[in-house]
Amino acid sequence: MPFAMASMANVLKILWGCSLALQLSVLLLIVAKKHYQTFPATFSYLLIGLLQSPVVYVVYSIWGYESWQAFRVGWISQAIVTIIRWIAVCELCHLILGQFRGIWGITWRALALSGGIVLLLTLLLGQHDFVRIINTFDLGLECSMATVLVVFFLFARYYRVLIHPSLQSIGIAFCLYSCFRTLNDMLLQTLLRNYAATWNLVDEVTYLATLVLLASAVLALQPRPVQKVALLPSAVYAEFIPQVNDRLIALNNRLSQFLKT
Amino acid sequence: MNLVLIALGIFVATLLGLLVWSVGRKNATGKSPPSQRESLSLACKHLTNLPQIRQALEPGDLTYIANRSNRAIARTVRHERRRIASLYLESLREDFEQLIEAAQVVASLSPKVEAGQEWKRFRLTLEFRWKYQLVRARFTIGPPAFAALSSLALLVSSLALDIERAVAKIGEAAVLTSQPSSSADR
Repeated sequence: MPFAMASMANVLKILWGCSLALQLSVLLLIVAKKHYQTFPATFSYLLIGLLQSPVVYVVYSIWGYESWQAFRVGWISQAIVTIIRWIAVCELCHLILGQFRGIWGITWRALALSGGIVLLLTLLLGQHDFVRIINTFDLGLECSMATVLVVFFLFARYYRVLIHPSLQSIGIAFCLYSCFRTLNDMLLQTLLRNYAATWNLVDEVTYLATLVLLASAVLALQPRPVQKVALLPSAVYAEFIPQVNDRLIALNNRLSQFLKT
Repeated sequence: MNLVLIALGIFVATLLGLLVWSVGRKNATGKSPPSQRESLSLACKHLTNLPQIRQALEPGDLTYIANRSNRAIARTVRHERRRIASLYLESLREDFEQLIEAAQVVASLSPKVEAGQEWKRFRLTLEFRWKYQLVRARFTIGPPAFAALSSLALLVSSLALDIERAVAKIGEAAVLTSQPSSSADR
């Protein structure tokens, strides 16, 4: 068992090294392509993620992996990173749908509502003892982030909004990471200390996969990934959409009559 | 706790499924972005075939065949009529989807939309799709009636006319918005 733990720690160190190198490459790529102006939150997220690893590593080296200091520093830094990722998700959604002013008004409300409900539900269903409360918050934030991204993609699909493949990849990367982190957090809540080491390993692997997806997306990102959209006069919607809805009612009534006969 | 774990697992699996569905199909069909107004193609293909469908579903023809030839031929003809009706119903649905797509494009390009109207259209579209499946099932089982088909066809075409009018306005608006002195709501 100690041998297994030691080999796991070595694997973790290698994964840390890989993710640090990848984070640095993505950040340099963003700086080189000047995308930090378009994605300030995503840039900040990667930058803080890069700074988090050495800080946590130092704390683990000094006080040990299972110490309270490591526990506190690990989770507080994680909370900061998660909140910045939340802002990056909001930034991405606004960047893609923000210029469609009309539907964005509905979309952001739906996203806030769905994200809020999921966050509340996970907080209610999660464990609330001293050890697990932070993990419950993390679980809630990850679960609501994944929900928000899925609802966002559903809205974009419903309104036939074409998303640039690179932006879509960034969204998918964030969503997949949140989904797997949700499951990982849930297992940690259930199994606690027995799963702690594995939790770290699984998290590092999913983070590495997310970084690979982000790197490929940033690499393919064009200088202006979002097209300018010329909106219609408000009168077109006000006149046309109620008519379409009336026709739909008539069509459905006709189908109902047909089914009754 | 295990129950919560299972529920959460199912929820995450559903999220992943929805993610795949929402980002996958659009790429497969290669739909145009809403900013491209060429996607507002409104030609109702089904209308041109309406007279032929009327002829194909004429009840007198079937009675004539049943009286003059054997049962097998009459059954084959009946089967063919059902197939034709189903195909026509399918083309009606395709036209409907095209029109709904045009409505979605109009909504997405509007600076102000009403949540009530959007919800109503979403609900009505779902209702249409559900009822369409029922009608289709009924056409597969029972004898297809031309009157029902033609009334549906006329409704879809009148919807197309409404949208065509709106598209004409969109064209006018596009001209206005391209002019710098335009007062169009942007």
